[in-house]
Amino acid sequence: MAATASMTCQELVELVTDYLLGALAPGERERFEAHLEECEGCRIYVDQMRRTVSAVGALREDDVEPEARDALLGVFRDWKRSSRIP
Amino acid sequence: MEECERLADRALGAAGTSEHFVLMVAHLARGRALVRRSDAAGARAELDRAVRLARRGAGRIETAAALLARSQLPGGEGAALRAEAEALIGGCRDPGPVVVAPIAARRRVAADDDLSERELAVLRMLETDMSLRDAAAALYISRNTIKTHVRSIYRKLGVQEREEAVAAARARGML
Repeated sequence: MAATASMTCQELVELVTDYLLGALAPGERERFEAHLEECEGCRIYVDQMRRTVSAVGALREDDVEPEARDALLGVFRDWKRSSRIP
Repeated sequence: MEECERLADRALGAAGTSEHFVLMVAHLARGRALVRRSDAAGARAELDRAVRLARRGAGRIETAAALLARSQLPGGEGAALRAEAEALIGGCRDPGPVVVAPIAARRRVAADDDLSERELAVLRMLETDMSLRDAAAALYISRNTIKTHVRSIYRKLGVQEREEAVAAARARGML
């Protein structure tokens, strides 16, 4: 299967931020893009990440409604609590 | 600023065409006012005169202030004037805001596109075909830290991609 010869989905997910940053090593980038050619799921994933990065990057603190900010901080607090090892 | 210009004009009016070095202060004030008015040619004439008069015997700080003001204008030996000013005030423990601010501003500009030691180390990794993960491990830093370095390298070099960063750094003699 060509997809596994280029890169697995898991490897791609681990490298997505490096890819969006434009920092993949030359060979690595080719394998990354070869995988994208063949895998629709990863194409969608990378596209979502790209949109997220650009939306979040364009936000300033004032752009976020106070309610939204509180809700978001609440989610982070709970997330930390729930992921803590007992 | 109008007040400042009026005072400078009055001082120069009273002195006539005197070439006394004390008048450098008035020329300096006028020159700086003209810089703010974006009158580069007028500012240059005033500041050139301020520098010329200052060199005849004004104090170190006043002379350095004139040199620095002149060095910020295009044309002329900006770097040489700045070096002369820095040499003049090198021994002063507290040169005061008039000369410290322009020097600090200049350093900030320089620091803005100079790469730090750490960034240079990351840059040398980008030149290889190492992955970011391996480069981070080799430098004993986390993957998030190396990404932060990469982002600031790209910002300073004005690039978006690894190959561009390497090419830009080579062009500037950083690699």
